[in-house]
Amino acid sequence: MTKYELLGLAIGWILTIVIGLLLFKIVWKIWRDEIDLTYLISDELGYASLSRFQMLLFSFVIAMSLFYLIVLKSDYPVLPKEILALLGISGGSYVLSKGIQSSRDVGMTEATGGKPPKENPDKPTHEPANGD
Amino acid sequence: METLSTALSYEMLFLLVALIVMITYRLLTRKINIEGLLLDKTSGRAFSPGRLQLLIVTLLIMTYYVMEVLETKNFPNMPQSFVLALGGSNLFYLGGKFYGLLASKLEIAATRIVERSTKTVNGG
Repeated sequence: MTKYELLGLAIGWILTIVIGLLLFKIVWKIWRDEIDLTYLISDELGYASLSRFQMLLFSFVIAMSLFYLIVLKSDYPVLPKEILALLGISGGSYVLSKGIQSSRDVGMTEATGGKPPKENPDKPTHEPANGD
Repeated sequence: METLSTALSYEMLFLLVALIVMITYRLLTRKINIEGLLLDKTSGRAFSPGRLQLLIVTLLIMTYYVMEVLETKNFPNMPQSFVLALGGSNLFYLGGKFYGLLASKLEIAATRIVERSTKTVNGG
């Protein structure tokens, strides 16, 4: 083994250990509820958002498949354009949905004379706010 | 070098599995908020069929995708019709949302017109 190969190996191990520690820390904090996931798929009003849920599902499925195929073939597979289209549709829908939501919030704020709309709680609550 | 890539793949597997298990568990036990997932928020609080169809289409495509990956051991070539179905489904969902927004804006405008005409009648 040459000294450059040895250096590469050492850097690889250092990165693996650092990434491993970071991953462990993240998972540990989520497990201990120090990273709060309550509003992972919620919008600003505290309601669950279908676009975010869709993004979450697609991300997990594609990440797991990518991992499975890389381990299986020891090579990075080519992503077909249809998969990218699926992710693009999902992401685009999320962005448009957010645009519509914020446009509605601006309209509500204007209608209530500069005050935030009633549905918008000061801080997110688990219970959906009353909209009447 | 092989030990290194094995260690890295175990790390990634650990992260993915841990995240999926924790998030699925919290979704099922409602520790992650899923209130109003199928409710229309722009035009009232009614159940939204548009959201339900999007959820069903998403789950169907996801299932098909996972089965294809496991069967072919490759990224599947999704049929064009599936991509169109998802696109159409999202469009339907967004259309419903946009309609709700339009309805609420029209309602606000109508309220303002009524307020102004009331002021004019009262001599304001």
